[in-house]
Amino acid sequence: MSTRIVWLVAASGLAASPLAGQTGITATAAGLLLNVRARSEASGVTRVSGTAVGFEGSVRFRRLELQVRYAEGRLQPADQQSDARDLVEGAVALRFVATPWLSMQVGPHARRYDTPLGPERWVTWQLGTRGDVALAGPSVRGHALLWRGMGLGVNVPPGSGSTRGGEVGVTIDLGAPLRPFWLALSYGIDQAQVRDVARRETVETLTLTAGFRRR
Amino acid sequence: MRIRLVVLALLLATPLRAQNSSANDVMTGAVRAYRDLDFDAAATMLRRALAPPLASGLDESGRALALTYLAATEHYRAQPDSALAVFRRLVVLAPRHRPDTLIFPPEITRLYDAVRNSTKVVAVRVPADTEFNVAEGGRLVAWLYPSTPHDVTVAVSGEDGRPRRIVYAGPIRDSLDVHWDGRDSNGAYATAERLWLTVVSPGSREVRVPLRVDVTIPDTLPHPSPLSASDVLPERSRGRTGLRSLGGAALLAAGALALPSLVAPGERASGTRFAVAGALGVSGLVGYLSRPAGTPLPENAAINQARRDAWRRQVDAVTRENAERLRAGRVHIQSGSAVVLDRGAENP
Repeated sequence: MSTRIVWLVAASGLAASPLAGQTGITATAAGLLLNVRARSEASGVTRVSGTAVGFEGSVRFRRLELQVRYAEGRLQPADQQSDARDLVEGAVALRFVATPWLSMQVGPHARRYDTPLGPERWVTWQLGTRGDVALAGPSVRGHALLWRGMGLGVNVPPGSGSTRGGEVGVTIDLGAPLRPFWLALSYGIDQAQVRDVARRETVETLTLTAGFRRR
Repeated sequence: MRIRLVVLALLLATPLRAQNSSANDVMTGAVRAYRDLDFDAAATMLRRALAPPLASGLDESGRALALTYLAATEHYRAQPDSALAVFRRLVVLAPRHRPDTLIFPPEITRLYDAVRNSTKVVAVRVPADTEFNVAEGGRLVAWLYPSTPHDVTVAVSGEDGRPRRIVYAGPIRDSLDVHWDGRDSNGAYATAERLWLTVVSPGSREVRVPLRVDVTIPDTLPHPSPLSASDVLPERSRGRTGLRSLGGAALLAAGALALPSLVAPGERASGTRFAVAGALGVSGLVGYLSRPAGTPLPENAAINQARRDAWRRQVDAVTRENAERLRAGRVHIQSGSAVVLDRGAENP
């Protein structure tokens, strides 16, 4: 698992560098370390937590930015009743940067758990608004994102529902000689509610991101 | 039908031919009478030849010759005022004309020279059509021939008579070429419905040549408006800068803490959000303490410089594009017949 992610991060970084240098496109590539806590409420309450690793990459041209994110890990039960799960998560977001501090984004988000009972998939389209603010010059910025799911699809048991979430974080651009590199710490939470079934899934993530940016 | 047309054409053509031959016949008779010293008959025939409808049968050189004979005839008829008036008319008609010294005695040529020296007028020759490319820097050329050396002012004027561009002001001796690039005094192309090339001999006469200027130039792009104050960021921190950082960080930290209750009300959230809230709080505090009022903001200065550079690049691009478009422009100037306006301020 880890080897595959390392290769993916390296490939996205190599692809970003020449593209950005030639066309004025801003590209980023980053590695992710996530602390995930999930609480599933159906007939009973299941709590799992664990660590996942992944990568994200983005390409920005003028006011449009395309972001791709992928992570996977294993979540261990936090109590005696729950089972361990493998987590795979991926998202694509197309972002329109209306102003330097406000942007809108839309894109699919999928989360898959491998449980002893079989794979479980949660798919939704996120529509959100993000605000950015400079905290200490341009090198330290904070952001807040709120999104709402446009439909939710679950395979086990088959159904649909609603979902919403948000994220707050801080990003630090490192100074010279590490100038293209940046670090980010963010907290996110989302909750999915399956219609007609008393089932609710809440996932919290604490994400540490390390990446570099090329213009 | 065809016969009727032929007859009609012959009826129309005959008077013209007869009129033309009549003018020449009258001129021949007048010259014969002049040589026979029958000056009264010569004067009568010459005036007839110079008056409509026969006058149209004479070209400019023919009219100049007729006027010379008429002035000499009036001189020998002891009508000096008439002779002077006729010579003045001759000078206005053809400032470059000189009486043939083999035909006219010195007393006539001297009289003509005296009138010419006191009659300040300029003959203007302008091509009927002048067309040039803007990029090649073409010009309308007007050739000026004065009756006598004097000062002139050459201008291109509008219909209201006000000069749009002074083309030349100064002395003219034997001849003078003046050039006009089609632009007014502001550098814009003079595209009025009707223009005049005016040559003013101060205190005497004004010669006007009608001009029609057609300029075919593609539309040019407007220049980008200069950066306004709102486009430029402050390059030194104000008291609010640090407070804004602190306030923003506090707001985000509060958002991180409140996010679970906003997104998943009723859920007991983990304590991981405190890590982010703390990081945000520390960042805001650093931003507040590191930015007292008056501190240079190099990042803003860099952004401003980038915006100024971008604006300059836009201006340069528009300037280049407009210059390229202007290179494709063409100017077409048509001229008409010259008109002489007598301002009546001189006497021989």
